[in-house]
Amino acid sequence: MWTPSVRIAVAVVSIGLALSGCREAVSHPIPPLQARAQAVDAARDIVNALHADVTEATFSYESCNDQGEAPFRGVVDLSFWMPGVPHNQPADPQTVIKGLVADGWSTDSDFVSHGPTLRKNGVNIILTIAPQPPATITLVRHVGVKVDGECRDTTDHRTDGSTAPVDISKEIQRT
Amino acid sequence: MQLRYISVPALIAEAGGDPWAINRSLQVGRPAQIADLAEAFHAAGRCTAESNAAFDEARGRFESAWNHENGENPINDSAEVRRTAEALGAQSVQLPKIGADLESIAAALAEAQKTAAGQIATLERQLQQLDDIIGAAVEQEKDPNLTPKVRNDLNAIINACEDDAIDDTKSALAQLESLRDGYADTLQKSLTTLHTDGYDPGFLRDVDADTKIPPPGTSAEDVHKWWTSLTPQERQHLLAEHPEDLGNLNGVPVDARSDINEAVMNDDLHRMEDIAKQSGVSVGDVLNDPGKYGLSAAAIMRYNNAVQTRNGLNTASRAEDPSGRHPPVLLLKYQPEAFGGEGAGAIAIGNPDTAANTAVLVKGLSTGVREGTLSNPDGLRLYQESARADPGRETAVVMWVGYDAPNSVADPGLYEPNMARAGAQLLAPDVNALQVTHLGAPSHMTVVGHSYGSTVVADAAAAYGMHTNDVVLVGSPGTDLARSAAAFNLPPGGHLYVGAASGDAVTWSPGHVTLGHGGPSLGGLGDDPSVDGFGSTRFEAENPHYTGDPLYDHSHYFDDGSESLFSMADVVSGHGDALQHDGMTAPHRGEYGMPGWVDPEAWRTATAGHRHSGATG
Repeated sequence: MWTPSVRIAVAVVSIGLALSGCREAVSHPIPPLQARAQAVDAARDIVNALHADVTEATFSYESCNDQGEAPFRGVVDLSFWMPGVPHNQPADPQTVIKGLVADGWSTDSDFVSHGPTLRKNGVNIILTIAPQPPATITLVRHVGVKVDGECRDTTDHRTDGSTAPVDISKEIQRT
Repeated sequence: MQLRYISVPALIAEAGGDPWAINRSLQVGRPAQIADLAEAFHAAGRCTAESNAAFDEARGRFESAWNHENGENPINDSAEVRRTAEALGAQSVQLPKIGADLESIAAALAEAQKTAAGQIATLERQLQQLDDIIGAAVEQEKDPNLTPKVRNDLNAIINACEDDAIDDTKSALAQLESLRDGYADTLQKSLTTLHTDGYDPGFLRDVDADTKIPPPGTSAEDVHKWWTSLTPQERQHLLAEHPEDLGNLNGVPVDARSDINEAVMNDDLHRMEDIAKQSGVSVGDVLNDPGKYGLSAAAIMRYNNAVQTRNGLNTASRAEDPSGRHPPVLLLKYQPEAFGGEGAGAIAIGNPDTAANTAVLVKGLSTGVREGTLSNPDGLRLYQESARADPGRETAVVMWVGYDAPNSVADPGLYEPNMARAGAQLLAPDVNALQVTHLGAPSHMTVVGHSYGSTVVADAAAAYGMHTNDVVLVGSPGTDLARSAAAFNLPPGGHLYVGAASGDAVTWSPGHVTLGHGGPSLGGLGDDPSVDGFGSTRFEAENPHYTGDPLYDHSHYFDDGSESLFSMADVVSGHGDALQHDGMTAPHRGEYGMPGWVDPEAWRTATAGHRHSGATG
């Protein structure tokens, strides 16, 4: 438990550590390919569980902090249509969430409050489910999902171009 | 021309343009200097019959059009020729060809100037005659014995003269516009040929009449007036030529700046890639031994920062608005050689010139283009959460990496405000220019400073005239010249918002923490804006993942779902008042009569999962 006095003590000590250039510690690092597989596999799992039609899917590495430094996580940005729902109407959020829960995704997420977020095997997903659009806007998807892998890749991806999105839509098409 | 009755400003308004201004823009060109340089090139190389004929023809045209001398600074012909001769070889047949091309530019410019001057003289003669007629009619009208019919006739004459004056002006305007466009076309074609011949005609910007760019230091308002006075064709020529200065000139619209900056960036990339390709080696090989391939240190620096900028643009292309559409990604600043090679740059997600809500994000310690800061995830997350917070309106977030930030915790600059004040002087005009180029109703502007960047933002607002609606400071080590919220000079309705995690060691530094005996003092950057009495609105910024890791809380203000990112999005979307009903306001340090270092937020359990729904209506 972080009592105020402990926090204050840690804060003062930590300035010294910060000055020594210490990086965020990762207890169980994984190599970049494994970080990628974790996010891509989760995205494929979602597409199969919902029988979704992928409209866009990209993979990238994303720093887990504001400094853009290691550790990094694998991230998939995923957009899809729900089966059987007309493209000019919104999907039912409960149908989406129930379909994922039936596939083993848990709403017991690190995200503890009101966001539609789920978790499975250490991977967090955040759902953006399009509401009924105004007459002037056409939908380009029913659901957007940000798939966040674990922050365990200690490679510095900041300057190697791999924070840029790469198309993986073929890799995760439903099987 | 001395007009007593006809008003020139009224004529310009009626005609829809200013023929005198177009003439002036042509007359600032210096054809004699171009011709001198052409002569030097012509004399330097091995002449062929073809280049001789081309040169002589252009020379003849120039001489018949050129009728005055001027005492402006001559181009250093010999240096200019020597530089090119060294690159092409002294006996190159290209040199006289360059001479002929330059001579034809000089001739076209001299001809355009002569014709324009003639047209203006004709117009002024016509206007003078009409003005004299009006004068005579006005005199006659003074006679009290005039019959109503005569008076009516005189009025009709005056009206007709005024209409004629407008028609003459319109006609001159059309001729001058066509003349200037014709010259611009010729110039553009010659520039392309010169490029092909191996000559960089960059100096022409100073002496030709078409591409005269306002010098650095011109106010954004004046630059914007200049840009909007150009014809679409002239703008296209400038975009095609993409001079680096223009891409970084405040007052030019952001989408045009982006086109220019991306073209300059691509030049920096291709220069290296082409050499590697021609030599049959990898870019890595060239980078390892640039001298072998004739590349300067500057070319390497530019290439490396171009790669990092391209990474940043690609990373930003991930951004989605709540509907799943990708907003434009714009490069509104690109200075790869700035700050000794750290580079300066700014990427906008969404177009600040059309957005209803714009945020400029200023980063802190060890940030720079070279360091890959443009690929950081924080600007992307701030864009997405802010767009979700107000899905009905357009959002833009600018990742501004535009100052020389302290390089590391060992950089003495970190512990004193000099680098922040220098950065503030660069930030303020960049932010203010966004309001100049914005289209339609003014946007809601928020400037967000993280870590040392918050000191830069505070100084820009307090001492260097930066105008913004709201300011957000997260992880602030101190506000230097701003001693209270009032010092930020925010307009009515504007607020200073502060996010300071209770465990963020950096925010504890103002005035309170000294590191050991003789260690660096972190108290040099000023006041803690989260303390009671400073006048800020503090929002919740605790982190549930708090681990005791020394950098953790200072580096997680932009986490998805965090209290801090959610709160910043409320402010950026123009709904700072929503913090109250969203339950995101926090008590200040030192409230309830406690000392300033006692933080009531340390007692609270942090929360997560905060996310705007993104639903409209």
